[in-house]
Amino acid sequence: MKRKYYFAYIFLLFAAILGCDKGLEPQPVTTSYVNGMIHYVDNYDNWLAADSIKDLRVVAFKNFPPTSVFEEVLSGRAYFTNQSLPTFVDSSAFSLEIADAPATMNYIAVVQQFGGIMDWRVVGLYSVIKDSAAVLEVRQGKIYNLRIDVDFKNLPKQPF
Amino acid sequence: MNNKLFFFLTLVTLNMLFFCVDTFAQKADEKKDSIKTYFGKSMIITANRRVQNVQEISNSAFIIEKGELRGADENNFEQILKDVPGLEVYDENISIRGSDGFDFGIGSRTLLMYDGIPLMSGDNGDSKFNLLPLSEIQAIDIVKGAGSALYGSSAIGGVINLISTKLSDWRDYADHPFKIDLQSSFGFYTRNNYDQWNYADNLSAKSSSNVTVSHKTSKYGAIFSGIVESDQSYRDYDDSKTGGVFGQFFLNSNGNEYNLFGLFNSTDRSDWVYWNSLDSATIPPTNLDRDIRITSSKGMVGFTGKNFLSSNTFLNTKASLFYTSFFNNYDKSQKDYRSSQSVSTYIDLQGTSLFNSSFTLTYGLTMQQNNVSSFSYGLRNQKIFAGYMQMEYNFSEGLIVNLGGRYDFETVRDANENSEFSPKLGLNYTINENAHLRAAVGKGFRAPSIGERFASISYQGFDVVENPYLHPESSWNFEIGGNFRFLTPIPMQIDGTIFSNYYSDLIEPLFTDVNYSTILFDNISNASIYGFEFAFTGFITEDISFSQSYTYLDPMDTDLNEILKFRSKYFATSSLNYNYGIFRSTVTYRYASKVEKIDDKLVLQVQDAQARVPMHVVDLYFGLSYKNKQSNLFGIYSNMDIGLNVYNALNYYYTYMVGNLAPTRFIGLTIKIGF
Repeated sequence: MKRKYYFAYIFLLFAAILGCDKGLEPQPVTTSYVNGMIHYVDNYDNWLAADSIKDLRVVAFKNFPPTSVFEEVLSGRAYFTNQSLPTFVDSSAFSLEIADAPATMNYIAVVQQFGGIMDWRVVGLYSVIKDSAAVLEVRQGKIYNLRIDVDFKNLPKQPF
Repeated sequence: MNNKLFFFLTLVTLNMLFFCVDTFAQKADEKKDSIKTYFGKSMIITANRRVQNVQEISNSAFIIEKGELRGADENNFEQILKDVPGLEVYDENISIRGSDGFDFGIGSRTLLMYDGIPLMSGDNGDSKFNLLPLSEIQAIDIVKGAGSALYGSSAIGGVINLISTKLSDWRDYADHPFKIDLQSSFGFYTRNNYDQWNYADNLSAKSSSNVTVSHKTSKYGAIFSGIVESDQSYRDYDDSKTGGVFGQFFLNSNGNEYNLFGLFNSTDRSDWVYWNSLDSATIPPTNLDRDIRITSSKGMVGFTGKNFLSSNTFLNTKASLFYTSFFNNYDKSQKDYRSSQSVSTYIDLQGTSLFNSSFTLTYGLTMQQNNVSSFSYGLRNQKIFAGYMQMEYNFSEGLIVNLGGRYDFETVRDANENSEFSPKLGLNYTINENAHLRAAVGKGFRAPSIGERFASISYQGFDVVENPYLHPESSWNFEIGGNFRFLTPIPMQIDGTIFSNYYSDLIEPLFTDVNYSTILFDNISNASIYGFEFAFTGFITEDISFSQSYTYLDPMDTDLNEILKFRSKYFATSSLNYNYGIFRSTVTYRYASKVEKIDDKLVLQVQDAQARVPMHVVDLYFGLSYKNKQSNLFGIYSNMDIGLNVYNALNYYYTYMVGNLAPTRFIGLTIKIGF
């Protein structure tokens, strides 16, 4: 067979391949998500009394150290989960939509409201090195999956 | 673009044939080669339970021979089967010519076997892949269409039989009875074209290592094999780790053959079911508990024996115990806890008598018992007793007639008894050595699995409830076909089939509540699947070969008079092989048209469930295959294969199941060394 026919075939094959689309494609995403799982140490046994947990949320603070949960959220310097997290479970998932990525989250934590509207404390911390807050650079259109451990009997150092 | 690439490639190949015809025809004529130079005599054992020339059977069949397995990854039967015309394979589900749709992994309509012993779990009735080392597989027989007349339940869509390497296949090693095969594969999934589908910063890897030690002589042999495999997957929370061992003993005595084998395989994996959404297709739903792991194990002890009772009668004995189990790591008190253990006992006694050179009788008895001890399905027992007989008469005019049938009787604790008779008539007419016509009509059936009858589980948003009143589904399969071989204008083989299948009382998942989250399996539909299939194989030069296949299906739900759910209508495969010396290369292209209809109710559970496109997949293989029968670097027999596989080379994105992105581009290197 003449060599030119091989070349003709290969050329046509590549032309066909390059002419192919890529199939399914996602909608271009501008928002980013910080998703993840919260794991509660020692499962049910470690939970606080039900009446001491008024609210439980994941908050991603841009500021560090944050002044207070209430102030940072009101000023738009923190993202928080829309609903209170489920209680008396082994683990639960969360999802935060980050609308203004790229952004830097300097402190991501599970916070508990134990009293009035200003009474919040950190019960779990997103960390890479134990007990040290990890910084998360949130890029546009990216989805991050984090793990946060909560030990109600061994709370992290409070930043407020 | 839908069909553009498909038609373009077809055009390209036809052009290439046109260009090549003159020059190659001249060469072929000059050499006056026999057609056997190009197309060997492929033998099949599965079609009629005895060794036959594949051209002389009455059903459509496809054989993957050992030589075609050499470049493949170890432990990856799925990838190998994907290139077979008319087959769809994903996640241990097999559909032959549209026989299977979307069944939550329960109840296969294809019977998978190893040397005639079913590799089907006793509880879910699903096929169990990847239990055997590829190095010990001599061939894979695929028989399409209802095979229940000989194989009973589950063979309603077809039969896939993995044929082991027998002592007689080891002629090459007569002087080298000890053999060690080492195989290692490593590869990674490349980054996606869309950043939001890159769920991790690092590439996900997949690796496997396999060691097989064997000792074989003309009278006895033994094999031990072990494998470990790790797959981080192209999706988050879809990783798995597998370990397995396999051992087999052979004994040949006075022409009788005995094989005893055992295997154990365990997998720890995440519990991926479907995506979060199309926009985040590589991560599971965000509310999923990612601590959940599934552990599944399979263990089997099997025996096959072939005894010559007289000069014209032999007895095939098959017996096995197949243990399967799975459980997740939820606490038993939690709603989503699932676990099941099953032991499937199988005994088959088959006699074959050759009364004269024209008349062969095959007959036998089969017993299968499935004992299930399951949190999800309860304590269950299913027994199937069967007797079968098939006559084959070979007329001197080239006509071979097969007539036979099988009677199955099924009892299940806490469910109805069932009996089925599955007849079959097959014809094969040899026009000449290179032209054969065939026709077959047969009935198939499938008894519902324990899982379909008694499932009572919660599964990532779905609740499955039991239905002990299920009865078997059945089918009638008609087909006519032919196989033709030519030497001019180029050496070529054409195989064509026209078929029609009529299914009654198909068992399908059915949503029963207003929220479309509760499912039961029920006999909900009758269906017909008409179609045709053509496969071409040829040699453009002595070094370059090609194969193309086209399958068309018209799958209709005859109750609703609408297209059957979860089926494509068009399939095509195209491959081009170039072998020169020790160099091997293959380009394979697979096409499946867009699934036209799914169950709309899934949309409420699975976000973007309607996202689907046609499939266009190109796989590449480049390799070196070195084989030295005399001596090697170390003074002993050796062979070596080095292969680079690129799966889904175009990184084309499609769904293989609702809410499931198919595997993205994977590049892997496989090294096999045999001493």
